[in-house]
Amino acid sequence: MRRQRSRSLAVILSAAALSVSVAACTSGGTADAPASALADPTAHAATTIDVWSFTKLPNEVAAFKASFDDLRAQYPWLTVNFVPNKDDAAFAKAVAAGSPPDVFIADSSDNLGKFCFDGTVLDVGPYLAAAKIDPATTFPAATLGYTRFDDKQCGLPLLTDVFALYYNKKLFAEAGISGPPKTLSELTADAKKLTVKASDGTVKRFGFVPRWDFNLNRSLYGGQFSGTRFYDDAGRTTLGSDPSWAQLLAWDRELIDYYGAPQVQTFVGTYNAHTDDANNAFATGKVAMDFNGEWHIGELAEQAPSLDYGIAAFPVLDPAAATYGGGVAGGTVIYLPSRGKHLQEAFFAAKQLATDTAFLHKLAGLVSNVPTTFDALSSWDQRSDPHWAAMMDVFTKTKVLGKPTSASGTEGSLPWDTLIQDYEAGRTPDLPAALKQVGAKIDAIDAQARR
Amino acid sequence: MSTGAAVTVAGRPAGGPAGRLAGRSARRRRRGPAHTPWPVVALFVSPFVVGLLLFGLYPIGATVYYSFTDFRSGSYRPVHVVGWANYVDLVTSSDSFWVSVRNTLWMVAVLVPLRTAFALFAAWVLTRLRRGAAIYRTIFFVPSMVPVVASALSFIVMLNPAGPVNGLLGRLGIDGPGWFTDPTWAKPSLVLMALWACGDTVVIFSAAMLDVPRDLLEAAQLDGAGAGRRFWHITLPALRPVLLFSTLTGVIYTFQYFTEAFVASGSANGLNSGNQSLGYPQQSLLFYTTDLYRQGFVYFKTGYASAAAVLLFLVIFAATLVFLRVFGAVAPDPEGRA
Repeated sequence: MRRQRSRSLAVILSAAALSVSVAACTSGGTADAPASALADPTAHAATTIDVWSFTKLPNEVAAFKASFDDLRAQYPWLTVNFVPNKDDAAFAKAVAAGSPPDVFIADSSDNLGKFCFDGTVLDVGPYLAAAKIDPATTFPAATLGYTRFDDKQCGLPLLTDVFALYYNKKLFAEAGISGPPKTLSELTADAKKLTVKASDGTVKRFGFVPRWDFNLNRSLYGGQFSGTRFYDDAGRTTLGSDPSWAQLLAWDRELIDYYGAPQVQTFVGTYNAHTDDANNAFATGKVAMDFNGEWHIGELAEQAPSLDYGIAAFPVLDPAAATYGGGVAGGTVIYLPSRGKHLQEAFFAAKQLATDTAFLHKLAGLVSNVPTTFDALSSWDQRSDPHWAAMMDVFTKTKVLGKPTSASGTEGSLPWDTLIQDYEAGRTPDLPAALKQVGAKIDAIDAQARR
Repeated sequence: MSTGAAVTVAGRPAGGPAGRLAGRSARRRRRGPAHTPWPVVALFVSPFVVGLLLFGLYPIGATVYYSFTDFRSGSYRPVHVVGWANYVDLVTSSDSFWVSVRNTLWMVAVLVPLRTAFALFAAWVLTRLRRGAAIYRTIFFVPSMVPVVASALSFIVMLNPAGPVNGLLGRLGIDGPGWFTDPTWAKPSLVLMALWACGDTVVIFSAAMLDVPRDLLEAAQLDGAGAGRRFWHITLPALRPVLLFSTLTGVIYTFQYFTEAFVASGSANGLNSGNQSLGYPQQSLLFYTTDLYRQGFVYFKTGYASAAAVLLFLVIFAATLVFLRVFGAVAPDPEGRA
């Protein structure tokens, strides 16, 4: 009796283990995706597709819904079930559960390399070709940089963020500075001129705060402003081999030491919570120069309409002066899960979102972002605004993309981020050795992700 | 547990005629449900059994299984069984693992004793109040009813370097710290928040203190024992079971400390989302479960995160056993066995 029971138990456990392993393995394999666009989008069987998006702000959700309503009016066979407020983790869970949406709109390309390598999302390159869309002549190079991985077009760009230097013209004039700096040494000199210290050493106004964790500064350290590629041709990091990384960190540290680390700590702690409101440091004159995104133009127009400021490309390391003019770009990505149920219809909807000029203008205007097609950029009415014009100039000149997306997703960024913070805090006595060590660590993480 | 002289703590009938009688009576009572048709019994039990299997045993079994695989959530790559590799990687090649372990142990070592001591002191003061004790008990208890996220956000606002607390400190001539934005002060800020919300423990201690035999306290007072000695020699020993419960649950909770740190890290860092800011500032708020969350839901390393979860369970289980053994809290066997 006991033997029979134990045998039954073994059968149950085996079945459970098998079901678990089957559950795990059925999420594996590759999709046999039809590499063609819809033959005739005007006549098609009625189809409902699920579109998930990170979007949660009511005005953005309304814009998406309105766009899909327009799409349905034009193509009555297509119904879109729009689901807002979904992040990469929710998407990954849905994929693992075997019920991914047909389209997923992510807030960033952080996991594009991972999703692409793991076969989670589709290479839409063949679909674009079938639809006679040439990515190189449709989307600016900067956007292709973060939507491609291993020569595959694993996502479509949908609006982007561009980062540049904001500078206070009035304070510049008072300090006798004629224009924005173009190199990091000029930036340091200008920042010191613009800094106001009280008699007790307290900083009343900062010229520029470079600390990694202030506002969006983490994008300063991807290599865009040191003329550095994060990976070499063999796919290994250049942290240990390219001396410009150490120079970049030395620039960071020099300014922090100039103000005093405790002063910078207080500044970061106080103003990081106000980066998007009326009390932000740049709008209130607590800092004369700021590294920020294009949406800040809209915020400043509301919060500090009388502020006289300019926008320019962020300065670069002196040896890389020839690369001056570009910036950092990164934005929303449209994914097509490789095992979606309606691949062609999903691509059709995604293509409309990514390339429809009217929709891109409408959404870009709503969220103060930059449109991501050449057509939308050239016909955008914001071009007449000098701030937007400067930002778009930076965008179109952006070539160096910093740390590209990798198969390890955001995991590979952690050692580098940690090293920067340790160095800023004075916890890295031997920087060259630390750079080599961190480079090797990131290489190991990337290699493990590709196993 | 004892319901009569003939029944032991374990509920088994003791020997002797009275015991046998009680046993027969118990058997007769137990025979009742046996007459109920088993489909009816199964029907009534099934919601629990199904729930247990689906939401208890299956996830636990799956977690243990995944911990031995390289399964990555959302990936269509084949899943391999990797043996103990995830466990080995955890302790040998992950920097963040040891950072999170250090931070978690810091909280266990600092937060749990401080919170227990503070709650004990507050309860002691409350039981000595002659007037308004109910009002003060309410004042102490209400913060523990505030949702964790809301209280974390409130503390972030209050402890902003330019916020009201530092403003008050400034008026007293004290240069306030950066609190949640400063790696040195981030964990102490969480401790402050935990002390503020310790009302549930205060209420439990207060109730236990009211159960301390009054005659003992009065006798000690007649013998000339002061308040401190009465507390140390009478009240505290009487509170031992409650103290043990509170400390043990506190240790278990702190090993799994997550929400407060997640909110504090994310919100203290302005623009960046919670996922990007896990552990901010400078990994000072990276606790075991936040690192586990990051591995599983940010890096999608499900197998690795499962190994971390299994390891955490084993550590908590071992810590509980050690704790109970050290403090002699294992219920003594009525027959004198260890």
